[in-house]
Parts: sequence; structure tokens; C-alpha cells
Amino acid sequence: MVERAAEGDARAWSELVQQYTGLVWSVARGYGLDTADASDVVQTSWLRLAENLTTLRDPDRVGAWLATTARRESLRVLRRGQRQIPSGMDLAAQITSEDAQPDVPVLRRERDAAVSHAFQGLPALCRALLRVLMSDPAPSYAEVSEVLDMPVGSIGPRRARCLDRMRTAFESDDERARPIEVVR
Amino acid sequence: MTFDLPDDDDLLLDDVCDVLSRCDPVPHAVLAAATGAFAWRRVDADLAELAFDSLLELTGSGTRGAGDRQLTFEGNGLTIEIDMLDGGSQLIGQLVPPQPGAVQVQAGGRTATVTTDAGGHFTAAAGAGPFRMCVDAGPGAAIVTEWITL
Repeated sequence: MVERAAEGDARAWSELVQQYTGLVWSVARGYGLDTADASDVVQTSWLRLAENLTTLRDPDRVGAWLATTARRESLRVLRRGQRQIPSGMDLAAQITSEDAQPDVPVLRRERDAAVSHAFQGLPALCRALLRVLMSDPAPSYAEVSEVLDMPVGSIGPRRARCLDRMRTAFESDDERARPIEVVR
Repeated sequence: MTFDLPDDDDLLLDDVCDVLSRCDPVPHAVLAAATGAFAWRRVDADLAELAFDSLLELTGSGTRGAGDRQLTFEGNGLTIEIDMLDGGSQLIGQLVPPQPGAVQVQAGGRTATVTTDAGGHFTAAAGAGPFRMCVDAGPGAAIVTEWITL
């Protein structure tokens, strides 16, 4: 696909966009960027790919290349430190708003909000790792290692630790939420 | 009323993924912009790479204004130095070696063309979002900077 796009095939480009934008988005969001900043980072990553199509060393690893570019741009945007809102704020607002998910039952929406809140409370590295692991198509550990700049051998243990923290955070949120639920 | 999370790691990851993909899907505008990025290709131009970014150098005790940022791009014998002022809304730049001509500034989805003076200086407005510059380099040739996010 990369070669075809490099030759000017817009359809091949669209296929790349369909396949990898989810991964690139997850990297930017994983670093806690808000919608505007994440959108800019994703667009910059694709613009970079467009200008590097013919010089890409390893076209088979275009997904990792894009994600690595997105990680560097995300860190740059975080350094810039403007237009920044506390991580997860706009996502939490989006989830609890009825406009965002009009067809989802209230109870499901409450659970969604609780899961999301626990997720947003994780350390940045956990969020980034889990977001990248969730992307579709699933990246290999070698790709995750390259994208997040962490040793391959540390990914499995970190994944387990982050998910444990997620459970702990969820349970303590739930404890705090319980009295309110009883009143209802 | 309380909620449960799966004990199994794979199931938990699937669960969180399901919640986040329903709640935080890639916006349509982002997909459209990614598709549109293809049209911004400049196959005729040489690339000037980012050689310096003050954002990545500052140690926290910088004496410059908080919103100021210096960038240097280099490629094909040309150096483009720019100072972003007022948080990136204004930029002043210089081509080294100096050359007269037009500089296209692409920022925030808009393109503005400015001309350089005899010393290679130029000024332009910028804006948030992906940013790059294109410099004429004689008939049929151009140098473009790599894209960065402002």
C-alpha cells in the first residue's frame, strides 16, 4: 500500500488511513491530549507520512512509523503546554453527556463513565500503553516497544500491573460512589 | 448498585477498549484530514528537516517569553530560522543564505505567501495546528520544511 500511495494512488492512501488512524489517535489520546491537540497531532503524523512516502526505509512497518511520529509530536505538544486541559476531562464530559451516546441506556452510560474515569486516573504511561495495546489491528509487542520506546520484555509485566491498577482504581471509585447510589 | 470489572486481563482490556472506542472514536474530521493529507504532498520539492526546536532544549530557566519558540529547519543548503512570538500567532523568519523570493506559510489549514527582504527576513501570521513553509528555490524547484504541530 505504501508503494502504491508513493506512486500517487489515492485509494491506497485511503486504505492506509482507514487501517492506522485508530492507532495514531490512540497514541495521542493515550498521552492525555484533548480532542483539538490530538487531532492536530494525528494530522501532522499523516502529513509527515505523505512527505516521506518515497523515502520510508521499511514500508511494512508504516504503522509503527506513524505511531512513533505521533508519540514524538504528542510529547512536543505536551511540552508546549498551551491549550492544555487536565487529562481526561473532555472525555469524561463526553461520556456522561447524553448527546454523545443517545442510544446507550443510562446504566450502561454510568458504567462507561466509571470505567473511563478509572482509566483516566491511571499514570500517563499506563494509559499510553493500554491505548496502544487496544488499537485495531492489534500491534505486536515489537511494534509497541518501538512506538512507546520501552523494552519488549517489560510490556507484558507492565500491562498486567496497569490492569491491576485499573481494577484498584475502579473499586475505590466504586466504594466512594456507593453511598450516593444508596440514596437513590 | 455497583459495577464489576473482569478478573481476566484479556477480558478487562477488551472491556476498556469497548468503552473507549464507543466513547472516544476517531472523529470524522480527523479521518477526513488524514485522507486530505495526501493532497499536500510536494513531490517536486526537497525536504528541510527540523534541526532545532527550543521547546526540546529549554531547561526551565529560559529567559525568553513563555510563548516564544525558536525553530531551525535545514535542507539542500538552505537554513530557515524562525521565531514564533505570542504563543505562535506571529512568526519572524530568516533564510540563510539570504535570498529574495516568496515563502509560503501553511498553518492552521491556510496558506499565506510572504516575500523576503534583501536580508532574507520575512514575517507572517501563523496559528495552531500543523505548520510548514515552502521556499522557492529557482525554476521548478522548491524546498519544504517538514510538518510540525504548533
